[in-house]
Amino acid sequence: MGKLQARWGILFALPAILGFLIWNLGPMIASFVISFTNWSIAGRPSFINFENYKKIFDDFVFKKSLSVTFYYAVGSVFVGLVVALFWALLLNRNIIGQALFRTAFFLPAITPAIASSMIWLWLFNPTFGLLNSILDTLGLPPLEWIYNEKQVIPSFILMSIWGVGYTITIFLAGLQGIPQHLYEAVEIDGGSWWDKFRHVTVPMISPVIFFNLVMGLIGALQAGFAQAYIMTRGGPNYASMFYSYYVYLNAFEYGKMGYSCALSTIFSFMLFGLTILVFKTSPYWVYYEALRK
Amino acid sequence: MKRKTFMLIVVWFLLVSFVGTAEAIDLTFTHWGGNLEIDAIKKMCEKYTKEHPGVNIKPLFVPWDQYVQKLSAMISGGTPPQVGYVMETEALEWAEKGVLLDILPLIEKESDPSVKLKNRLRSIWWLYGGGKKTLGTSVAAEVMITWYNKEIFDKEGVPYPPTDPNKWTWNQFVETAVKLTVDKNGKHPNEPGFDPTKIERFGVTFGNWYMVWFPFIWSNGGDLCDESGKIAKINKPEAVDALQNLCDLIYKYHVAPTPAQSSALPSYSIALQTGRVAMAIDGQWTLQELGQLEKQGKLKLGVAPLPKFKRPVTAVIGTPIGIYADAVKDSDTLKAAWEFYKWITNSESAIDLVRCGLWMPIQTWWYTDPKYIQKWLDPEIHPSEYKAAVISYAYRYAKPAPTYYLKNFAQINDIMYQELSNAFNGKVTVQEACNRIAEKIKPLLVGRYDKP
Amino acid sequence: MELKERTSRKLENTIVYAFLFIGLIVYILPFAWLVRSSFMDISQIFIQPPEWIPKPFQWQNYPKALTAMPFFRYLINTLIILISVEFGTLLTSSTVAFSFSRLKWRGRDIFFFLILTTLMIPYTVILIPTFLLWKYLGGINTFLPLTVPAWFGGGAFNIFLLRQFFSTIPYELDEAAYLDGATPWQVLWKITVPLSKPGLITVGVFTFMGVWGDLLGPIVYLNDSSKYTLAVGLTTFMSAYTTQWNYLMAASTAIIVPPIVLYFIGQRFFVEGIVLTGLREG
Repeated sequence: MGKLQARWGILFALPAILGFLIWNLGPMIASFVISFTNWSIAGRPSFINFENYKKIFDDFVFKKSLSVTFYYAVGSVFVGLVVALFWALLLNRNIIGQALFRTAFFLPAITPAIASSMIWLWLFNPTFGLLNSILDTLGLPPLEWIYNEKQVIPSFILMSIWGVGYTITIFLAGLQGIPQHLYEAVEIDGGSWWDKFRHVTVPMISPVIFFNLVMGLIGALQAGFAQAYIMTRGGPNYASMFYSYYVYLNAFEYGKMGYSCALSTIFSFMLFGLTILVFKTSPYWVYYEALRK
Repeated sequence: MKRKTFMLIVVWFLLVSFVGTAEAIDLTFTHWGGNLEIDAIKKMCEKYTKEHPGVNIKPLFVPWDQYVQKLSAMISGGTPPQVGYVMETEALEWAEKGVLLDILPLIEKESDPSVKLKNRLRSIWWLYGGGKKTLGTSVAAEVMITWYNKEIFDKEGVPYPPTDPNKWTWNQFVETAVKLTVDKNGKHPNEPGFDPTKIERFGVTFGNWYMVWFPFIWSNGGDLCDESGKIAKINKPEAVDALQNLCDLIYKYHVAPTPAQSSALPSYSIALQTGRVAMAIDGQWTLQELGQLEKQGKLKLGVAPLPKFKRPVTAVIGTPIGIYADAVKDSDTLKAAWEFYKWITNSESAIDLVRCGLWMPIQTWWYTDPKYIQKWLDPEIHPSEYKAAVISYAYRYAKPAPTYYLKNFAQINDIMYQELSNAFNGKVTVQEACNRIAEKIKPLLVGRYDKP
Repeated sequence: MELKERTSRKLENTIVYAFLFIGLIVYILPFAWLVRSSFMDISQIFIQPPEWIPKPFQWQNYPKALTAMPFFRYLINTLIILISVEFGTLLTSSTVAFSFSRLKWRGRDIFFFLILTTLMIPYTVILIPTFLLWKYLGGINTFLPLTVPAWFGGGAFNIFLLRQFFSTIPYELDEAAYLDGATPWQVLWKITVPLSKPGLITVGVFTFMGVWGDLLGPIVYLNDSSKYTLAVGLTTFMSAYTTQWNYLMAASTAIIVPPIVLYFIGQRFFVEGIVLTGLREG
């Protein structure tokens, strides 16, 4: 049985394995190799060994960019997970107009970036923006939002709350797989909604929480390109110089593809490490009904 | 009967495939632009194809945001277009590396005057190889000027700015802006009780980018760096004073919006038309939008040169069109590409785009010959003072932006933008910002493309 | 007892609806801004504070925007790519995810992680090598680069997602089927997939969004503007210096209607209890 499974296992996984070997491995190796050259798209590359990597250590934008990106990622992933789960739980209930509510929450995630950026530029506007008007009515002082280097990342974290539509959807889908009788069992034992949540909901959707956590981190660490490109150009004072934006600038605006690949390689290794770490914690809190070990 | 028809059809196909495709050379022309430009270029390419049998021009629209990535992919793949727009940030770098063709040898052998060096504005040639080579010119010569809303001037009883660039001084400019700025209670900045947080109409607005910084730095006798392009001068008094004056418009005189405030006005044309601003320092290309508003009767448009500190000067900028070397290795293709290049960069061919205000022409006779000036101006679009305030002004006083010659300018520009936005956001003084710029760009100032 | 229970339930419901209503207004704001702008004249769009009723209603923004680009041609192109990608993704990602979650074989977890690493490389540095690869394969100026990869697992995101969903189904079901002589292929399609409707719908909807909004892919690989997709058509309203906001808003609104409708229909299958009930008792 084991041997049969093994054969079927490899067969089923073949499309992805082949896909990886054909479409991914080559380009990944290529970008790694390019990081040791001074290629700038035009002309022939020549090997400069570790020059790019040495330069990165002295690059103040690199350091700033890394801290900005991690700051944003940690903030937006945790805020995002909590908010998305909150909405998913509410949207999972038997409410009137459920379809409308669910679709409404998903809308910002599919609105084209150019349209939502304009809306946010308005929301963040210190003089006319809605957010400062709200603060005003609450008697609070106005903020500068994305025009202030200390407030720009928190502003973007706030903005990411609008984009949780995909995360909500995944949580919603996950919630569907919880057998009703488990909730009933808690009720019979006299448990409250918190007990249900803690002892039934969370463990049963922990595979999905895990997914959203991992994908959230991977995604958020590579995010910010549209915001930087359209709204802030990486400013003020580099405070929103997201890593993905800096990688792009080097590759396509400064003509330093080699350097860009070096930046990217360092970053990828960090991501590998971080993901492995998160995976290593999963046996402690993720409950799989049937993950064949 | 059926068999005969079938054979005839086959023969016809064979003939067509032989004759139809044997001679025709396909030229791909890549470009970006909005609707108007896309349509205009499509029509121009169709016209050229019709008038030149044997050549088929295929315009390929690539959105501006993705242009450099698309072209980079095409170039690395060895299949660039024959002719196409070039990103200003990459143009000279690509030319130096041989991606773009040096057309100087072709120009020297050429008899068509429209492409000769002296017949195109001197400021828009893209030179490299120590100044001995060129990839061509910009397809248009866009300068920075002052647009204004005549109705607002009339309402406030303020005389229009002079069209003589020698007479439009900075002090006069500031005075004018003060008279045109009003807060919610109708007060001007120089009146008691003026509330700078509740400004209804700004006297002037301008963007925070190099086409605004440089004309004023130059006008005050300063520059980013010295003639060799290796020593920074951005933190010297001439440059700092100019930028400080710009900053003062916002924080000292309260006649201009902060960057945050101006982000609520994404379009200068709308801001002018709705009376949110009285003057706008912007590029000539905005005329494309402003002209439409004029035609609809919504705006009485006026135009003036830039105000000067010590001497009149404006900056010029324009997308270069280049011939991509790898795509014209074959001599027939090269000939066809060259012919097309001459035609498309002859402003006569793009007369629609010139008349609608998007492009300023590049052959010198458009600026000196009254016949051509008349062809250029559309009375419904170009304000009456356009000839003096823009045409003569650009011809005499336009200086090329550093993109035309300075190495690493893209990166230097980003550094300038980050540091100066601190100053324009009121966080640091201009001197501080410029000191930091001078420090950070030291390793990047490695020289110019047009000097050895 | 009864009264207390009823009032506390009523209170609970009121709080829930209150939150949902606030959330609704907050989340629908961007879309509302988009739609009201699509019916306005450019000069009205950016008035501060914003006005929410177009005065006058510029209905012509829509026909003008949709005829400014070859809308139907772009729509057909987008649909061609979409159909291929949907089929390829749903088919192969289910198969692969099944292998990674419900079959045991040596090296499985290593390969899974390897596939995950594809998500960790910034697209910027992969763009040109992948382009060169396709050039070598002869796929430039065709839809192949945009569709073929979907048939090879559909991407790490979908594989990972379905792996997680599949792993919530009790293994007893598979075991029973194997005892009855079923093959893994049958278990996948007769047991696992029917029980994973929410997960598969999620993958289906997300894949749709991905294709619908993919901008860089079509631009880089296609050399004929007649082959472009809807997402690219949207960019014709933006140029380096000016943007035709009214047409852009109208076109954007028109283009996100199908995804909205799709989501509206799809989420109907997210109903608790249709997946598993009373399995433990069995």
